[in-house]
Amino acid sequence: MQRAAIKAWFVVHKWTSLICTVFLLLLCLTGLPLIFAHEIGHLTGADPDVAPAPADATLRDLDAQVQTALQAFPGNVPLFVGWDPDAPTMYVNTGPRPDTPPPQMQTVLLNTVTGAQVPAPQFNEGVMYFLYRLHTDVFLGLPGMLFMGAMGLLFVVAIVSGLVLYGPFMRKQRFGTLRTGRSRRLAWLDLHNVLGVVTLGWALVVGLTGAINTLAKPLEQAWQSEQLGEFAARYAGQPRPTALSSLQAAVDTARAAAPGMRPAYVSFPGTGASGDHHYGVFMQGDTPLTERLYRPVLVDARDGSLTAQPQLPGYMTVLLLSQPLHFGDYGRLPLKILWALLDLLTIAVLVSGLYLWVKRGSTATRVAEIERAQTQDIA
Amino acid sequence: MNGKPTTPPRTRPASSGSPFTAPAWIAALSVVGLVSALLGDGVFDLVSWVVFTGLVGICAWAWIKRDRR
Repeated sequence: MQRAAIKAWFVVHKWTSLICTVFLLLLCLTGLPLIFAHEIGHLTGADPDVAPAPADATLRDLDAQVQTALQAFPGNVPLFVGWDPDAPTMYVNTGPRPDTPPPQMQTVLLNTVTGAQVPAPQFNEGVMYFLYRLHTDVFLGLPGMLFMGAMGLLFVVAIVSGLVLYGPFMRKQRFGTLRTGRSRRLAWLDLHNVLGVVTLGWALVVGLTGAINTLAKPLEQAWQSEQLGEFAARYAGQPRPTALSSLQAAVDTARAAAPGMRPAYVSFPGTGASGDHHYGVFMQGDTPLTERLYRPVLVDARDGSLTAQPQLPGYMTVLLLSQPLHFGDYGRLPLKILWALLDLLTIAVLVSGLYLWVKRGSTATRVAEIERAQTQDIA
Repeated sequence: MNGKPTTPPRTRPASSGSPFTAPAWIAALSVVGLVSALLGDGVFDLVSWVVFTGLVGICAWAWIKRDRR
């Protein structure tokens, strides 16, 4: 590679890495426990273990469930209800306003059969929620989230430019070369190259899908205005209904409309997930893929009629697929453990990169180092 | 012999081919590992576990075979 090209890629790699490294370290460190959020929740009781219900048990009426939840938080309105696929429990998110954001939501966990309230801490409190906020938006809401997304994109550019520089460095070396007996700098450089190139594909996907996940809110809004815009004429000038039709009937209607699927969660009108006039019943299948590619069924929240089963637009499919590919929660515990190991290796890449920057000398020295590596046997 | 200690060559002969051959294979396998567990359970999960165990294994192998000279 020509000197000018090496220098350009080197500068790109240096600056994109430098800007994002401190945030990436934060993401890798907070992400580590978040990989095991489900397991940690069971250990700490945040996710209480509830004995499975008999297969023929009759589920309690959903409207009664919502009433039970509202009695726990008088004055609130229901926002979302959702089911645990592995236990006979459901949650009811409530809040003072229909558009209450997650940090202010108050949640009740209920037994789906008996309707008994299951004691559980609020999801938006505690250490794991603190780590989650640090990981997603550093407590700054959408701007923080978009900022973290930008850091994710810089990380992707750093990976690509790092791969370009890997070429001249390794031209005369075998794959996996790790020379620890010469200068300390060379040892760290080889380590950076080996670990960086092995984790490259995984890190690219986790970085890119993480950046996509930061767009969840704007994408959901775009989808709503596009999809629900189709029915806008029918509801033009109508205020959001205050007396809602039956939730149980809405879920029954959705089940009948999407046979073979089960409801994952339902959004109430005004929550920002299904417009102002509809229940959004989000149905899921039972394979790792169809479990995550929700199929929404929109049920009119005034008269309970089925309005539509819209196809998810491409960008929503990309968003929904980006979630498992970022979380690593789709291949049981062994995949989570491997996700954690790759996360640790990424931390090693970041730290070794930081070391190389601290011990850098001038850009000219570094460019000469790369030039030498591609022409000589010894770097 | 002129009495100087003979030093072994300081690097192995350069491998033939592009330095990107191994990384390309690793990247391709990574994609297989990332996608497989999404497609199904059981053997699909297993493929993902094997791939990612392989990646961690390559790092361990590089460390074990490190050149301490």
